[in-house]
Amino acid sequence: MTSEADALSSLLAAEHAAIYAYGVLGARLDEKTRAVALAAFDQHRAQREALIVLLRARGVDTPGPLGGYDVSVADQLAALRLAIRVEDELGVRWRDLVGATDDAALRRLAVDGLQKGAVRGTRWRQLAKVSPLTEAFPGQP
Amino acid sequence: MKPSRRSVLAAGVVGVASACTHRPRSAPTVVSPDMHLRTLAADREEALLQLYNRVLHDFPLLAAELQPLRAQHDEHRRLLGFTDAVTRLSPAALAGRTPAEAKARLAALEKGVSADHGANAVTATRALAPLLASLSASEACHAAVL
Repeated sequence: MTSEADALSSLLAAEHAAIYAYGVLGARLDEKTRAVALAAFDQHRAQREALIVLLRARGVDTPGPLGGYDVSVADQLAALRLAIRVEDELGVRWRDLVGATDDAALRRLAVDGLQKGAVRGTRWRQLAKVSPLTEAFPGQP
Repeated sequence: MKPSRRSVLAAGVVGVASACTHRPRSAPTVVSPDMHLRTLAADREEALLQLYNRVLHDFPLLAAELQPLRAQHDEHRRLLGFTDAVTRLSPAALAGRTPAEAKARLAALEKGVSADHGANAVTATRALAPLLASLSASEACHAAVL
């Protein structure tokens, strides 16, 4: 079973990757769509900061971002697909955290994180014209 | 009917076995702490399915858009442990008079169910909470596309 600290650390690592990916994919989007990516980028940065505070409060080391991530984006469609993947993968981490803690406040945060990420993923699916637009079990590996 | 020898012997064996266990005659049934939350979640899914059934009945042109969402609620109920098909329809008055109104009502119910699943995910055991969290997220996405 994943410990609460492990789930938080893994989530933080995934947020670092998401922020990097949004920086890359945003450059391939048209102006209107880029605004959606920018809003998501800001939300992920806020989540990263919140996770750092939670880990430090528990006396756990906070991993920094890696030097680079293996993401390449050729065009707008590839950028949209990357955004979907980023949100789907983060959803798995948020759901892990739900099952790794009994702390009600942390559970609430994790449920909220999973929900908001799934809605962002749905928005990207709409823009990429991917079907189905929604998943039956967001965050389920 | 006269009991057979075999059934009398069998009853005797059961009686001896019961006498050796020291258990009270009416042992309390053990109910999983999540059973109540599971049932509540399934009831909410059923309410959604009934409203989808009503809207699809009244506005069949919405089928292409709504059937995939409805199918996911069937999956939700199945994973909660309820496999019977929901065929009932909500009362006609709940669906609205136009397709747009019907979709708005579905979206409102999806939002409410999402909030309730999410609240229950906070108090459920670690075994059930992730599933309720996923259901909450799924309904939030449904509301977003409606």
